[in-house]
Amino acid sequence: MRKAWWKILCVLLLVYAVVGGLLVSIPNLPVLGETIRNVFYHVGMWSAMFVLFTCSLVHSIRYLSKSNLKNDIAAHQYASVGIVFGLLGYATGAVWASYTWADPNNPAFDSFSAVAREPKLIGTAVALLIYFAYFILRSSIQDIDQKARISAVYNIFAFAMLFPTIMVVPRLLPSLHPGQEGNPALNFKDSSPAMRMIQYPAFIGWALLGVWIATLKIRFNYVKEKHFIK
Amino acid sequence: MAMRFLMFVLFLLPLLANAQAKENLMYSSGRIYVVIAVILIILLGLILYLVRIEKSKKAGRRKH
Repeated sequence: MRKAWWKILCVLLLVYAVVGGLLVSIPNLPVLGETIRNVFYHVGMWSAMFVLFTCSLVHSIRYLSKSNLKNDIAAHQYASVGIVFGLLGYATGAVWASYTWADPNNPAFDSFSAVAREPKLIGTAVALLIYFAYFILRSSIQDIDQKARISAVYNIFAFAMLFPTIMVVPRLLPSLHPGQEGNPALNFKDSSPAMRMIQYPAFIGWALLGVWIATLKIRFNYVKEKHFIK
Repeated sequence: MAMRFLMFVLFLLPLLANAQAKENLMYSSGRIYVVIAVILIILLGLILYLVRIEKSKKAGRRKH
């Protein structure tokens, strides 16, 4: 029970994020309207994805220094849960955008080719596909130690590619996605102090939920692979 | 296969998603239903993922 405090915290933060996120009074924003409340959910998916990929990276580096297969299993599972959160972030972003900046009813809407050329969408798709390649690489190598070592090295590359594809390149190019001149999650112009009181706990809550699911998968795989683990 | 198709559709979603008339439910009450849709996607997505894990755990138990 003493080790479960962060799971209780996760549930409390997510309840706070959903209830508070729907009740908090928001600033009057032109294009967004009430949809700005999605910041607590859509951006929370990306925060969870980043935390999970970072955990995966740490375990990959630890595998390379210690050659313990437990670290390899952990890195694999953290990355797979991170991908799920990335896909959820992508799906929620698609719905949100189709009623705001990609909405044909919006007077500022340009054309579908402008949406298709949107660097943020392409950047995140590339980042997620690089992580898909991590799983393909893993399943293509038979030898367990070789698989663990090569995929650990690839995982470091995949994490390094997150920053140019998601953060650097979309901010250099003209984009319809908000938050162009900085971090959209930590933008102070589009949010009020009341919103930020919910935003940060929500981000932590989603990240904890992702880590929770990942730890369950890791424990299951420890049991499954117990003949290979020292 | 179904999973792969779902992922393919997911990457095309931003292009396919196209709001119709301005008077439908999604535009009412300051577009609050967009937020509801986003919360539902997350909830259903996570539940589906947990169901998948549950299935794979059952398969694993049978093997050992």
